[in-house]
Amino acid sequence: MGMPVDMLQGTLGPVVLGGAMIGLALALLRILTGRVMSASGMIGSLLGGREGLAATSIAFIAGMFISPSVLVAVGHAKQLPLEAGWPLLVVGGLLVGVGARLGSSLLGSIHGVTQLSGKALATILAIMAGAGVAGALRQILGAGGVA
Amino acid sequence: MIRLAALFCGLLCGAGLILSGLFQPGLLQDLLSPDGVGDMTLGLGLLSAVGVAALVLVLTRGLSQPLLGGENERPAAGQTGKAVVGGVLFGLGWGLAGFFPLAALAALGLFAPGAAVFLASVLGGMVLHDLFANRGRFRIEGLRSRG
Repeated sequence: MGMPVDMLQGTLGPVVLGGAMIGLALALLRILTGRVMSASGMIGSLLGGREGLAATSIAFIAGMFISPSVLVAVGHAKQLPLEAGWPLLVVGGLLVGVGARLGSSLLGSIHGVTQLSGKALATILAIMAGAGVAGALRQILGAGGVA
Repeated sequence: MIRLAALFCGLLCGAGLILSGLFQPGLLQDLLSPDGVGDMTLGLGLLSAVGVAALVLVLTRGLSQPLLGGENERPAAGQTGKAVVGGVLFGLGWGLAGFFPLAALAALGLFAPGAAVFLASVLGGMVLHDLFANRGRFRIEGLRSRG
């Protein structure tokens, strides 16, 4: 569904603003609570780990969960995601879960990059490489799912 | 107070993902799209997030511990090799499913059924990883229990 350029320009403002909000959330969470805003940290700590981490994770996840409703309440148009088919969601989810448990996740690596971590940069490149392979696989298999 | 801060950060991050549309699974496919004009929406949003996070974290780098107490969560231990393997798996899963975990959390707030399937699979992947990594003797049972 490659967006034509004019459509991209129409969404440029919200994209930059939304990205900035994500970055601000990541930094604030770190400054205020010391936590890393990542799948490994926020979802992984639900499965056990250091005492007390799960409570902040649950609070963070609750915030994420209610955020669309808050936006809708203040008048933002509700837009549902165009999701892949369930087999892809299950296989993809399992791979993401294993990867996150190995310490690699998108936002966790973004956090690492802000700390000038070479490991985090290598991880991001690995993530993009994996995503590229997956994209090619989906082209070959014709497993669209996403409109 | 820490939990309230975490809730607020979750709200901010979720709102950013929804407002920018960055939670949309199709964006990664668009970015990687081989048919010419790769859509840069995702790249732009993530760059914006990295920029703001880095700026705020650099400005506050004098802080030795979180403002609300506790200690800073350390980056996941382990070598770069492991992180790269994890990154490739994470990227493969992201590319196949279209969601990264925090995007799926925001989509869950829109009651998108696929996001729930994906997140359940992420948890499943984490549990699978733990079974393999920490308790090899449960390997067979772990596989059996997943059918």
